[in-house]
Amino acid sequence: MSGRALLQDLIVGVAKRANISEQEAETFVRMVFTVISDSLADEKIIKIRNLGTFKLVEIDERESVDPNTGVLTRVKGYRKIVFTPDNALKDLINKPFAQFETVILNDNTDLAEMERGAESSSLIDEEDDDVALDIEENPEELLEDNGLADEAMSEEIPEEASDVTLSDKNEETVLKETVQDDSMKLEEKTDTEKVEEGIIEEPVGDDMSVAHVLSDEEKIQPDSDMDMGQTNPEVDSVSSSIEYQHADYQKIQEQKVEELNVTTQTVEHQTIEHQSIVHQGREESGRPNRSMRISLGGMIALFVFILVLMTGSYLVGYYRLLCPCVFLTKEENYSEMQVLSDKTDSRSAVCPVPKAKQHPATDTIGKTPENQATKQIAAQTSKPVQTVKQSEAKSKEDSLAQLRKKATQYPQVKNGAYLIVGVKSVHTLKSGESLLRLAQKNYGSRDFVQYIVELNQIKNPDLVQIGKEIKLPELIKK
Amino acid sequence: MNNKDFVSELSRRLGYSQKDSSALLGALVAEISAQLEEDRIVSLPEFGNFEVRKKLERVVINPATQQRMLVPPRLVVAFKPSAQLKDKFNEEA
Repeated sequence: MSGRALLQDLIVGVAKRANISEQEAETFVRMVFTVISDSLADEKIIKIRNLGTFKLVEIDERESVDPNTGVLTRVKGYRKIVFTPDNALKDLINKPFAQFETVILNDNTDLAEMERGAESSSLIDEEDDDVALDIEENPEELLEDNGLADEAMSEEIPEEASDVTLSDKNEETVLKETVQDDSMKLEEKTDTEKVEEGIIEEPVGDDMSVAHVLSDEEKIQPDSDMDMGQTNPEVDSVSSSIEYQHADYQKIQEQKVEELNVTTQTVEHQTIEHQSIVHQGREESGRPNRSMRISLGGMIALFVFILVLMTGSYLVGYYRLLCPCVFLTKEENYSEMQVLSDKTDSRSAVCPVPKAKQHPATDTIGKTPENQATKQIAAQTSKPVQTVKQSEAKSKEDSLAQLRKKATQYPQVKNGAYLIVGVKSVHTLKSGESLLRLAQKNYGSRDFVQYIVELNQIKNPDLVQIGKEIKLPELIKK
Repeated sequence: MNNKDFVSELSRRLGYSQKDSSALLGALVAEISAQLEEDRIVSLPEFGNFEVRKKLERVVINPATQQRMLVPPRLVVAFKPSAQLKDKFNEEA
C-alpha cells in the first residue's frame, strides 16, 4: 500500500485532467459526493458510469442471541450502503490477476496423479530424500510464485512428503526383513542338522559361507543403488540372482524338512545332494533342478524297492520258501505213504513184529500230547523209516493187517481214504477252537474233520461245547 | 437513478452544462480509478473510503453438480461508508 489518496489529491488530479482550476474542481468533487449521499435517500440506487453502483439496502430488524450471556436482543432494522464496482473498474483493478481463470478441479485424478508423480520420483531417487523433497516442493513453490497458496494444496503437500518418507522407510525395513528371514532360515537349518549325525556338518559350513556371500551382496546392493543410472542393470542382475538363490534355499529347506522325517539313509543321500546343490547353486541355475529331479527319482525307486521287499517277505512267509524242513517232511511223508500203499496192495500177510514195533511209537506220542505237532511229525517220519526197514524184513505187511483188524474196533468213515486204527491223543477244547481247526492243525487239512467227528461220535459238528475232550484218531491209509 | 439522471442533477446543482458535468464526472472517476490502481485508499471525508482488497484463491463447490472449482485470486474494489454517511441514512429512517 503506497498510502492514502485524500480528497485534496483527487481534486488536484481532476483539475489536471479537466484543465480547470483546483477551486472549481474542489467544488465539483464535493458536490458529486453530496449529491450521491443526498440522492441515495430518495432514489435508493445511483449508477455512475465506469465507477459503479451505490445502493441503499434496507436491513430488517432481527433477533439475535448473545453467544456469551444467552440474552435475546432485538437488532433494529437499518439501511446499509452497498457499492458494487462497475465491470470496467473491476477489470481495471484486477488487471494484475487478469490472466487467471477459474479451474475445474477433478479432485480424484488430480491428487492421484500428484501422488504418483511424487512416488515415482521417490523411487528413482530412493535414498536421496533431499532431491525428492525438492521435486515435491516444486509445485508449492510455483503456486507461491504466482501467489496462489491454496489452503487445500498447502495441506496436501506435507502429507505427501511424509507419505513418501514413510514408504522409503518401509522399503528399507522390507529389505532388512528379507535379510533377517534368510538368516533365520539358515539358523533353523543348522539346528535341524545338528540333531542328525556329524556327517552333515560339512554342508552346514558350506551353507554359512554361501550365506555370508549372500549377505555381502545384499550389503552391496543399496550402495550400488546410490550410484543410480549407470549401474542399474548390474544391480538388477545381482538382485535377481540373489532372489533365485533364495528360492533355491527355500526349496532345499523344504526338501530337508520332508526327508529328515524319513530315515538316516535318506538323510545321507540328501546330504550328498545338498552338497551338490550348494556348490552348483552359486554357479549355474539349471543344475539344482536336475539334482532335485534325481533325488525325486531316487525317492520313488526307494519306495518301490521297499514295496517289493515287503511283498516278497510276505510271500516268503506265506509259502515258507525259506523253511526247507517243512517241505522235506512233507515230501518224505508223501513218498513213504506211497510206499506204504504199494506194500499193502501187493501183500496181505499178517506180521506180529511190526505191530509190536508200532505200539511204542504211538505210546510215545500219547505220552506227550503237548508237543503233538513236532512229535507227530517225528513219529511219522520215524515210523515209516522203521516200516521201510521192516518191509525189507518182510514183516510190515503183518502190521498193516494187524492195524486193519484193530480198525474194526473203532467207528469208520464210509468211503474214507483212511482208517481209524486208534486214539492218537486227547484234546480238550478251549474257547476259540473248532474241530476244523483241530483237523487243520493235527492232520494238515480240514478234510480230516470227518474222522474226528466219527471217532468222537459227535452228532452236530457245528455245536461243540468248550471243555469237551476230543479224541484225535490215529489214521492209516487204506 | 442512472448515470444520466445523476449528471443532470449534478449540473442542476452546480449550474454547469450536462456536457461539462459529464466530462468532469468522467475525469473524477478516472482519477479515482487511477488512484485505486496504484493501490491507494481513496479516502473521502464524510462519505467513505474506496480501497482495493485482495481476495485469495479458493475452492468453490457447485452445490448442484458437486463440481469443485478453483477460483483464482483477484483484486476487488471495496467501499466502506463512513460513520457519518451511515448515520445520515439511519437517522432519516
